Amino acid sequence: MATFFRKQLPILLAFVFGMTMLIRYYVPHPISEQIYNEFIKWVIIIAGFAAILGILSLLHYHWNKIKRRQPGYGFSFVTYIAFFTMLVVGLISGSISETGSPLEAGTGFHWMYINLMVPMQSTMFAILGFFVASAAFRAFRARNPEATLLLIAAILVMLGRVPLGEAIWGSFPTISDWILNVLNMSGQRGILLGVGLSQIAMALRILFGIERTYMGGGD
Amino acid sequence: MKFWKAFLKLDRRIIYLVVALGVIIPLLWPMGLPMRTSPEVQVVYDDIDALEPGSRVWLAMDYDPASQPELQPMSKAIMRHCFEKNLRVLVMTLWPGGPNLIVEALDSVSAEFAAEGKNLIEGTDYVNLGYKPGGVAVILGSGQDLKDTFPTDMFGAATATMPVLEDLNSIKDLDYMVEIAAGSTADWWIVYGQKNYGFPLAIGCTAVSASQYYPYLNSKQITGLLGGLRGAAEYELLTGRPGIATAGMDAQSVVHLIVVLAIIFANIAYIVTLRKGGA
Repeated sequence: MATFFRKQLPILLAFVFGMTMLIRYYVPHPISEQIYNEFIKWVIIIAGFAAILGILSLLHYHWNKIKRRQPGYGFSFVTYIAFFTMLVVGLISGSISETGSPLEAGTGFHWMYINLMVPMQSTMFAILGFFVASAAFRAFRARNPEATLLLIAAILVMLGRVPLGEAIWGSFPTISDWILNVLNMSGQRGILLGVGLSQIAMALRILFGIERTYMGGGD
Repeated sequence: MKFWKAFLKLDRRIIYLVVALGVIIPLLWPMGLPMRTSPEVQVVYDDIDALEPGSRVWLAMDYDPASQPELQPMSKAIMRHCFEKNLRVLVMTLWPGGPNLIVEALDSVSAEFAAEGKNLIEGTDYVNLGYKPGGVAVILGSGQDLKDTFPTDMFGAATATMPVLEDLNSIKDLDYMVEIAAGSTADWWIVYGQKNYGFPLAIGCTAVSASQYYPYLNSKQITGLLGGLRGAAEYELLTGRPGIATAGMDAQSVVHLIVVLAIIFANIAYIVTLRKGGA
């Protein structure tokens, strides 16, 4: 019975729901449309619950890290403090705001979001700029013809996309546009076609129960 | 020879310092370099500019604070243009970290217009539909029945009676849509939104992901493309309201030049040391 719930049932559900959606696409009947609309609502509701699952999983992971005193467990404390601080402030903000939403401008939650989360996350992302500059200096070498081509293209696009490049040589933007619109576009299109075909193959594999890794195992 | 060897072993902290100065100095003393407008940005501006007053523009702000320095100026520039043209704006996000950025953008743009004597009314001139979990399902649901998918706005007001959503039952009836994306949501809006429901769609994205949308631009599945801070800056200049993106372009220019020079000189050093057998 346990095997049925762990293996057969998920495959059966994937097949039934997947085929229903597939058939509906080719049979736009009012009944199939109604079923389709219901399915969409279900997905939205399930996605909402998935967020709760994600939060619980995060807390569980960090709780285990603290319990076992794993390296860097101090950061798990930070995660807990940050999570519960935002949660408490959010609940209080929601209870005293006009609309009952903590997301409203002027609430403590919104203030913390704008003045803590925004600068912290933006800084983390901006630090990449420094790493990219350092990595480009250390690793971007013209070791072979392919790397040399990549290097030349990168330099031309980097200069063509900024006003200073335009000021240095007026043709940089034209060359950059050509690289993006012709060379890049054709390469990206090839990748997209490959991805599209792979997605069809993967969808069929999942529908027919050949691909089972989404259940958490390869068997 | 010694110089080039030492150059290749340059302390990374010196590179960090040079990049930091390259960002800070142009922000403090802007150069105000002229900037041309890319055709893919111009077309978005022209499309929105040509819409009749009262037309509805859907603005999906699918990003979180990590990408907001690049994308928030883009969203604000689009909002300003729409409100200037008396278009109605419907804003939402598929990213859980995004709703407060919508609030911030709408508040600051509304305040700018209020200072100019034009008061924007929530529910009439714009609506904040907030965050809805479900990704692709939200897009498909909005195409099937918009008010059923978004029965209330972000603050719980019923959308059924809102003038901004009057007679709008599906995203297929939209006059225009701009998707500002930091991730794969742009692909969802193209594949599941524009393909299924046929509304005109423009994409705004981070500079690093702009290159992957050129095939859609070429196939006319998207009307235009705003790539990174540059796209935002071009749009700001087109609307005649230069803002933070325009101010940031000088810094970006200098940092690009620093990276290019670093690559060129590192390669000269590499070739010189390689020829002398010391690399």
